[in-house]
Amino acid sequence: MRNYILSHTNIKNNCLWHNGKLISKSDETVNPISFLEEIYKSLNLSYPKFFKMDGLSKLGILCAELILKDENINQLFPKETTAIVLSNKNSSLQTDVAYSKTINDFPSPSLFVYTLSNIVTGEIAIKHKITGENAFFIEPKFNAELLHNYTELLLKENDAVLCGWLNINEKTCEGFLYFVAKQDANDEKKINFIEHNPANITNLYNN
Amino acid sequence: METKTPVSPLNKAFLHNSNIISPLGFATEKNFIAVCEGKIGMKDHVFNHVNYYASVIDTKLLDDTFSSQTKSNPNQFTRLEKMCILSVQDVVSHSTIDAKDKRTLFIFSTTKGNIDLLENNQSIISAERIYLHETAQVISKYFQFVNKPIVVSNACISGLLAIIIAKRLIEDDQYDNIIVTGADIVSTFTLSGFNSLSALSSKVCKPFDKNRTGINLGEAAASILISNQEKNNCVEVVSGCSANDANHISGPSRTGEGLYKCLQKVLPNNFIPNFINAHGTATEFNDEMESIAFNRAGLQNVFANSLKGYYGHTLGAAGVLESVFCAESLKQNKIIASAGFEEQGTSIKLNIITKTENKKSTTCLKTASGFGGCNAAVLYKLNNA
Repeated sequence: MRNYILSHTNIKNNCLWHNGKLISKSDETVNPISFLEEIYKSLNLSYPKFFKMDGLSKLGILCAELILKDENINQLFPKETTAIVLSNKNSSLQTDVAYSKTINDFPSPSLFVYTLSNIVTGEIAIKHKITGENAFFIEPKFNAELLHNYTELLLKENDAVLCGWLNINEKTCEGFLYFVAKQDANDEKKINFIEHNPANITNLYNN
Repeated sequence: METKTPVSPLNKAFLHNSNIISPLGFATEKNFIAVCEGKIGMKDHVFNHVNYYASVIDTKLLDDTFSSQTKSNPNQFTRLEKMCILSVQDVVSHSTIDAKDKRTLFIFSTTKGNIDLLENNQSIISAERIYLHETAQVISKYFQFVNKPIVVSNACISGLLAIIIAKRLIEDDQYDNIIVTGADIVSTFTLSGFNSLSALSSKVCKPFDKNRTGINLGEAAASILISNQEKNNCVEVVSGCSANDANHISGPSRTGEGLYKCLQKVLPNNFIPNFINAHGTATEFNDEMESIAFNRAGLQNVFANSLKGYYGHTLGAAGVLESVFCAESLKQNKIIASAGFEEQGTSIKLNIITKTENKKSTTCLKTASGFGGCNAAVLYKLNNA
């Protein structure tokens, strides 16, 4: 058994890609939240809670959706031994700023609950009933080595890891999630498997 | 699915020296003595014209101590950075570790870092320091750590999760020594936020008590050196894991699902530890959830406490600070009273410690839970040669 990347999603420059295939694209003048809401509609997601979420959670929910709606991934891996390992630069800063503007007037509880980086982890976990390990790392830029290293450690005791980078501010958003799992190296399907190593992760991130 | 074959680690992880910077003192021993004497950090403070009970470090004492112990200008560092630098310095200066060694790592745990930079724009502090990795860099550069720091920000399990991550890296023989520092400050941001959720107590908090009405916030920086070297009378990080409730982003699972899952994993073969240092925030839902999870794991009769009645909830520092107390309790043969507790207040009766006294223990369970549905648990064991 070896660790392979089975699926990945990228959101960057107002484009959505799944496994290297362009799924949707918007004008670059469209702001990140509007673009994410366009994607939501185009995927026919019926999940009204989406509209209550902050930008970071919206970004994470959409990236995870494309990966986990695939039956080969959704049904083959036990949710209790699937970990979620995420990272970004901004933590929840966009929502922190929005919340801090409400402090002197009426502090908003619905904004405050999103002022933690790992709320998006919770949102993904709830939507897909994933109860495994969690970790959220803050890095100045995408760090394939760190994610690869920690994922490899987790896969010693767990079956799969949903992993990646979710970063958002007013002007841009960048999402890259990928799903790593143990696979039989002799499996016929392995032609579609991407070996889990930092170089491959970086390539997929750069799309 | 593949059958699990347990991989035996190359190394073990041990807790070495530590530090706590808090209103109860600027060293582990001072904090431990103060808590054993029943002192508490919470006082009535005014933030943004509102009164709160919170555990806050005296600003002048922090600046004076920083000036005298570091010879650096306190104005060049934020409140949080000063706390962290003092904390790491105490650990480094009492150890033989070399920050410049490739086998030494610094892990920083925080929820909100320099969040006060959003409120008061201190002119000489760069606005970039609002980014958590920038804060970690400032601390790391001060000590000239050669490796880039790892920053963990995972709500209220951040500190305990940072210890679990350090344990895994040491077991995999990637490092010899890892300093884990957890820190958060009390700010108008967090106070107003928890207040907006009606989660704050207007009095000193009462974990697990019938009359508990919510949390107090506290600030602290706590550091611990985790090493692959075993010493006499030193505490081993035996097992640790995290799990998600997959239930609610701002409230725990009613059945303690994620925490119970952690307990099953860190306590093999229904192992019963000598005592539990619980999360015990003193909110109605957290303490109730913990009692249910402990009961499901058969731990309802084990001595248990929460330290939130001394320090309030120190957020990203809590898991590290409370682990320092676990280690000291084991090494000094003490069990510590759960401050604020008078009357059973959970539907499952727990064995809450009501008196600090001498008692020999060799194992202790530390737990934490937080927003985003996250939970973590670690089993500590005293290794006495």
